[in-house]
Amino acid sequence: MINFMFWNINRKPLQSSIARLTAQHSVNLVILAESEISPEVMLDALHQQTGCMFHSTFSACKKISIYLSFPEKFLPPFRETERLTIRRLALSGLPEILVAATHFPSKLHWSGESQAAECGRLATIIRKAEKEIGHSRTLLVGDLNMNPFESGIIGASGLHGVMTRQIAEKRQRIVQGIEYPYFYNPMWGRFGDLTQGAAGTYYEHRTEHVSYFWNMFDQVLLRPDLLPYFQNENLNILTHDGEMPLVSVSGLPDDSLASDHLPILFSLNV
Amino acid sequence: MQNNNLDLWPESFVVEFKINPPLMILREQASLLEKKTGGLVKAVVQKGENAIAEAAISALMRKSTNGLITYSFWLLAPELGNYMYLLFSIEQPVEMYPLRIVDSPLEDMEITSEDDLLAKLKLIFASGEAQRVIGAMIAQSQTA
Repeated sequence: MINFMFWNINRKPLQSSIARLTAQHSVNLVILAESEISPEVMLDALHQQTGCMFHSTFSACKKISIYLSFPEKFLPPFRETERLTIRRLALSGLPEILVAATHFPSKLHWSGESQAAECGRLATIIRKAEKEIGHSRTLLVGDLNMNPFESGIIGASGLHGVMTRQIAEKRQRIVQGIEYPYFYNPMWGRFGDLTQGAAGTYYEHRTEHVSYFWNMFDQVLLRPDLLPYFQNENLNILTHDGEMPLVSVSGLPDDSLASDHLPILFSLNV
Repeated sequence: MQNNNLDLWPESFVVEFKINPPLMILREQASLLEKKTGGLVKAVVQKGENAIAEAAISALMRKSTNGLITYSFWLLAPELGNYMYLLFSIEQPVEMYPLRIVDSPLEDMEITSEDDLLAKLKLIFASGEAQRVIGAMIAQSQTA
């Protein structure tokens, strides 16, 4: 079982909280966005909490930081941009997995159309990497700054992240003569208050007519080839680090306690 | 009227050699980087990286991309398992100019001429971001 945690920590010094979550959930890959924590401080906190030696990784991607419970040679970078890192997770005796992590531009600075267009670029880079490596056991995780229902995430020429396994297992569909592979987006199943945990990963009460309140900006998407290794119950939005709550008394992400985003935890049973 | 072999084309075409195509400029600069870094960091220019994305942009924004050609300028480290980093892309019409530089360490820029392109490439290559990435790739390659 490989355990992944992604968290946009909003430039906060949350190393203790990250380390507690890592220890509590036996996280193997800690993937952070908006981290200004130095690798030395983060590695020290992880070591103190888990008792294990963690490793930082070489990356030219400034927007994402990754820490591992195994040596970095097992997760070399393959393709990177300023906002994206694609890595080959190649642990001995296990099938190789492509791990893509990104932090997308915010809605504060980019229009929905621009975000959707950028999803097309991201999808193209991922498809090209898959073609070069020769498999599509790929997951994409990150703060996408879009909800699962927005066109950049759901559109065929975007990330094509669909809401059910049954659709994703059809592998791809053709639109206007071009074949587009699916991602499965399990975050659909974590929306709202009938699900376990928080209703989303980011809360915003907008003073305009349309407000979703809860948003699911932080997501993991999986290609059909990874679905045999993924169980939906192994995906959770975390609200407590074992010592401190990450949400206010009313259950909302609280920037004064931790980050304005909640972390997501998921596992692959490879 | 007999028009079976009617040829309306002129005898020849004027081919403009005064302008170096942007692709040629990018490829020249790519080959220079390899020499400067002793082969530790190369650059590759890929055409049409965003072909599908362009279709997406066109569909989503409901406007034509006017046949833009995209070239992406990637840094490549052979010693790091052919690791690649996207330094910037250009989007050019078939007439070449004006073109746009996007995804660069600097802000997106409209380029109106070859001289302008050369000046902006110099700025990108000298940027702190390019220096940081190339430096890191060299350092990692030397210890690989």
